[in-house]
Amino acid sequence: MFLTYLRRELFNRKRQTIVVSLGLALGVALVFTVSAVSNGVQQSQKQVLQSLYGLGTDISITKVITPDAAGQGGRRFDVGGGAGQRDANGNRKFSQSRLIVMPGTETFDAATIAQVSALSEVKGAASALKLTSISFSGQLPDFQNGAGFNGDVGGDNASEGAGNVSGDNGVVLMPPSVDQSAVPGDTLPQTVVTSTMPSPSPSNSANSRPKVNQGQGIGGDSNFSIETFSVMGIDPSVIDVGPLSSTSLVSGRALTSSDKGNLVAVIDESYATSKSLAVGATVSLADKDFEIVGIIASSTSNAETASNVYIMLDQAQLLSTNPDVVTNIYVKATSSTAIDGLVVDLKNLLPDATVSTTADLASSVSGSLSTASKLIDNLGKWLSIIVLSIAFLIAILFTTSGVTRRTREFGTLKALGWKSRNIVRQVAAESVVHGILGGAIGVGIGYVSIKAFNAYAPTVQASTSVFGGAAPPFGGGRGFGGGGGGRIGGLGSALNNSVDVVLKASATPTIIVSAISLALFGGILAGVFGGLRAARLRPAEALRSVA
Amino acid sequence: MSNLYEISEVVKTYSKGREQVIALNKVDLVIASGEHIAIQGPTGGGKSTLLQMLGALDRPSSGRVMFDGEDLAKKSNPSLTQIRAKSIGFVFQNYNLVPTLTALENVEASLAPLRMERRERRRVSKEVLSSVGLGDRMNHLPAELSGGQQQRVAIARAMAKKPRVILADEPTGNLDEATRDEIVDLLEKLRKDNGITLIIVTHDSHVAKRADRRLKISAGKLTTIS
Repeated sequence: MFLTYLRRELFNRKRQTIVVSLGLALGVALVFTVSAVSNGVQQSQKQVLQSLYGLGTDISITKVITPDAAGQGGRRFDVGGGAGQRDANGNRKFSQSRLIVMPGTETFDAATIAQVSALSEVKGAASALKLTSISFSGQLPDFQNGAGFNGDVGGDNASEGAGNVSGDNGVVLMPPSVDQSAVPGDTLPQTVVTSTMPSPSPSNSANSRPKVNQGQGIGGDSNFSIETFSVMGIDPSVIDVGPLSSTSLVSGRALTSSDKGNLVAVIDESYATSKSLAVGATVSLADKDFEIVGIIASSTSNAETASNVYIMLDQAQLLSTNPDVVTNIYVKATSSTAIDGLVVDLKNLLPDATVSTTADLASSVSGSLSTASKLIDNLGKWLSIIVLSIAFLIAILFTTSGVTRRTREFGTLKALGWKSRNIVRQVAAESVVHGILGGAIGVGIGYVSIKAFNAYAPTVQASTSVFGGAAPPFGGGRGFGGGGGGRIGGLGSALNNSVDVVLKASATPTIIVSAISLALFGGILAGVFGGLRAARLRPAEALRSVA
Repeated sequence: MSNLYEISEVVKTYSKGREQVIALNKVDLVIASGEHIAIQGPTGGGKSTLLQMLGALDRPSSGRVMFDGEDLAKKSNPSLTQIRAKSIGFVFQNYNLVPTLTALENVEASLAPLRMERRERRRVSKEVLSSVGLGDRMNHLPAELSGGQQQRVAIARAMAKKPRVILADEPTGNLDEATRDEIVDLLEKLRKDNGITLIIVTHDSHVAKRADRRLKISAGKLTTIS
């Protein structure tokens, strides 16, 4: 009788069934969608971090340069006083390439990794030397003879200069300037690159933006271009910690310990695509040709790898003239509970270093991805609570008013000898079914919403500091430094890894179960209220009130 | 013939705001098993209250309501529920059928508390519905039946459990004369065939005249008409 009665009530009171179920469904659908988008945001954040620091990395150790008061934090690009070929007008043509430690980064002694590995909480550690390849090619005017360099270049964080930065790929246009002063010395003027290194970019290869940064200078008799990309010196013997742990081989082979001393490189797939490079081709680093032996891609689908080019650590140290140093140490703890203690030990061991956990790194993610995350955390959460509360209230009100409307029915059943608990069970069961239906419909609506969201697939930007924290105040390099060299300033922005991430909502089994549980809870809540009301009905009063 | 009911000194009072309303005022009544009783009286005179006492739906404020040798005034709620389930059938003026259940399921609903097997429950329900002339209307919802047919379903529902007594509250109040007579005939026939007691509360003198005994209740006082 229980099931027959239940079935009849649900089918023959369609309006109530539909209204209560849909009310719950809308609440559940909103919670489901918000949770799925939130999950997508979290996944995107993870992908950003994984691409930069690797899957198995618990702690990242770096050192940040403290710029001096004058803001002279930039690095020199000294093309050499006598370098290049002069033309008839005295203009000189250059084509030079440098490997420099990423601006703003300090180095560790390579032996530091042994000290880190010796700590009891460390399961594994890897080190890397993060470099920037800067290639300069073009023509510079004869500064010594007063043929002015008309380009006055500044940058984001430069204290001087007003370079126009435009273009998606970081093109720097240097218009003629009022500054006609001759600059002595064969120096590369201060310039700026707007994009950064490394810069994992959008998930979608079709939208993928190469990390290569190009600057162009046009002014006076100068006409040159600057290309920068990221290079990482790695120790291939350790691949389960660090950036390589989240990569997979696309073609060719990986670097191995036997490559020590060889000019071989593995490159990022997106970089390879953008530069039309394949296995067997060469890439020029510090005026040396490296043979590309393999192409790797991020093992996560939505981000690029940590660097454009990977070479052996010894070659990176040699060509950047930084022997026996590294810039980054990646550490894997023995267990998640050991991380806090390990951070303390590492800070004691390396007091000048920046020790960042994955939580610190996650908090360093900024940009519109972070805004989206905050929006979902705040607005989404409260909106879900409000809508869900309304849905629960609707379910409770409809159920209790349904019981009131059915006073005669329940009074009659009690008169026929039905026990109160049988009537309560009947009311509660109807509510629970409303909850289940609401949950199922809600998940269905939620899936449609997710499909719509993913079809729109908004692209958000995530920025992370390469230091795992806020970018240090670089920039402000002096333009047109005299004497021996100008400074590459204005690289403050370059210290951030800016990533475009296609945001995709995804529902996990936990989200589905939670959504249905929530609807079920709403149904049970309504059933409890309705059931209590039904239980309180006394048959005589119920029949009398009807009469 | 043994007595089914022995009611003595029954008083029932209600609170209506600050006022105390005396619905039954020292009512004494004895009803023999198999008897056909009609209770008449003005609206608010205490008819329905008396019926509720007889139907174990309510307890008196004072006095005794002996039903089949047991004092209903001293029974717990579960015991009263059990007595209603087994021994008392109700027929209401507005039929009080569950609107979402078919005629057959409505009859089955009265057998549900008896823990009868589903097949047996269905068999008995069909049999009773056939006996009230609704063999071809079993799967109809109440809304698909006429007033007379709905009242037949209600009578079948009351009869299915083979009760000791049927308490009918204005069973013909919503019916035309022809249908009224059919229903009264049916109740009378079932009473005779099954040896059950029939107590009808009615305003209709035509219906009341069919009873063995006619009682009148007014201002909570019960008197015999004839």
